[in-house]
Amino acid sequence: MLAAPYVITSCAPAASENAIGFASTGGVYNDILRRVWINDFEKQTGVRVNLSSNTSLTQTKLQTKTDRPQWDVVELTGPWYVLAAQQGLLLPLDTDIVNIKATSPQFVRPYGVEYAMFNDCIAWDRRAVPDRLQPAGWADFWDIKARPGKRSLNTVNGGGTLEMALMADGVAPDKLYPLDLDRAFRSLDRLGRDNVVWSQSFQEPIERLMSQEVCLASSWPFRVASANRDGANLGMTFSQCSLAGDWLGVVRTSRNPRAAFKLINALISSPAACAEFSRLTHYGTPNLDSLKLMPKADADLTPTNPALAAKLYAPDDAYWAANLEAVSTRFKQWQLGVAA
Amino acid sequence: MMASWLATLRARSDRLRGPGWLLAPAALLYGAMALAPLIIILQMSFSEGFGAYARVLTNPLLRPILANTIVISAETTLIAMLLGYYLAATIWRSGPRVRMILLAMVLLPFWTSGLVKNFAWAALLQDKGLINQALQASGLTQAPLTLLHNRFAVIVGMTHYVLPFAIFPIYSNMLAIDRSLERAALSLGATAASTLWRVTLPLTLPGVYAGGLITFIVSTSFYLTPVILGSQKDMMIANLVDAYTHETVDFAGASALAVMLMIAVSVLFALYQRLPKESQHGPL
Repeated sequence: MLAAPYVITSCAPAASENAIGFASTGGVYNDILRRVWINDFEKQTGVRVNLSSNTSLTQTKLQTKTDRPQWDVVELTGPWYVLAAQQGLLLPLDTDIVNIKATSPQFVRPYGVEYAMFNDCIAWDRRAVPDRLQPAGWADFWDIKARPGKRSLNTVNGGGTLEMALMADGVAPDKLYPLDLDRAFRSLDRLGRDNVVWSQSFQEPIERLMSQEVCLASSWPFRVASANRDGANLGMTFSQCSLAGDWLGVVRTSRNPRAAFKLINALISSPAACAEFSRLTHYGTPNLDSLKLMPKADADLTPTNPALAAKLYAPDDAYWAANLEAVSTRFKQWQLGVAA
Repeated sequence: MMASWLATLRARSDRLRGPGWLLAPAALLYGAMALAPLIIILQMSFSEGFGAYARVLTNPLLRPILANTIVISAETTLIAMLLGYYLAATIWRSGPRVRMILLAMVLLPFWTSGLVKNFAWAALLQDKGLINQALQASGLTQAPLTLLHNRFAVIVGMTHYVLPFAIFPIYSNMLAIDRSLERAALSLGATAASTLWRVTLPLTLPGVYAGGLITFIVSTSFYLTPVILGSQKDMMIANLVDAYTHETVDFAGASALAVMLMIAVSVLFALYQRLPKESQHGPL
């Protein structure tokens, strides 16, 4: 009843010659962006950066429907980036300004650069799941008999539930795509609709674990580590988890694309700044030289670290962009309990 | 047409003893805040001709979600009417002090944000929540009952939200009843039950119809409660609009579905406007 999806909530002033808008995810994260990169960028270029906190593909699309967009640079998830590129919402990456040699080619696409890599994790409540039963992957997560209790799965960013269901059924992480949907839904039937609680935000899985509503949850390492620092007793593993990243692109209707691409360049080109960002967030950056500048303990937790990356799988964003509508319809039919 | 409308407006404003231009801010507000977005949504829904409508109508999710919407709204309305009628009658029959307290208890949640009410219910209904703790402490249950993230929780949260919409039409209807009619029935030998059934209830029927219809209308457009208290199984129409907007970023589809929901609700609302007004003698 209270949703107002068409309201543009950012009240940052429209971009002028000397200001650009950068839409990210807000909170502590935006504070870190400002501290690591943006203050220096503003000093060096004289361009003011207005940070917004509510990036989404929906809002990005609305930006392109006006010739005075409030956002110039947008941070997009993988599937969002592919859809934004398909729907013509972004400008082609200006490689005269963005120094892509500072990164590895896997992080560069025609309309953007991947800059913040993070992985999800399997988290559990150590009060409910004893150490001898700690899960080694999704097959254990699916095993209701050995670990009785509800599970939290996510609807955030598509959630990766079907991939999890396939791995729980024995599919190897590198053989997931194209998804075998029949097999995935059979596996979900085995888990049972009523054993799943759907979480819709990044913090909900942690809250559900702590309130003992669920005993296992798909979550994110940064959230689990923060909860444990605050006194929670949660376990986590990265095994069979996904490595995803956020992409930076410039909105097609940007009035100041040169400054926007300069900002993207600033976000990827300094190894020292990237190392500091990884240390503060545990996110990986496309600047692999930054790993060498970090203490080993931090580098070990950074998902672009080759040792950690071997445990993770990369979701196929192109598969998802091409099949999103059909697969998400079928997924909702399963959630509603009606036959496909 | 325009002139006669203006004349009516002028006549009305004369009656209010104020110049017509005082209405301008309100007109501007409704024009900018309500009509303009509606026109934009209508435009977006037709951005591909009838393509978006065809896409929404052939979406296999539409039928189960529509069924959810109707069933959940009907169940909510039924429960809210039963509770609301009893509560309205209690308020009507109490003394001024109790009446004030009861009305405050109905109005306070009515003025509270929907988000707060939903999270409060989530806290009460969860496995380790107050209700389950009390049940287990008293020995009534051994293991926690599943009260949250199911249809039950959705109905509880929605009923709580819509209850004032059920109570007020019935209550204001009751206020208009001449109490001597009941005394007359009782003095002529009717039992309390048959007085309720044959005198009071028929007299309050206009309030019941109005309350029921407005409760149903409000229920059909719920978005938040299925998300917070329900599971994906309890998706309603507004949640499908959200999926079109945020998941597949199909603005035309979202708008088409929203327009269809609006038309359906408008039909119900037109019906509401035509309901017999409350009167001492019940519906004529």
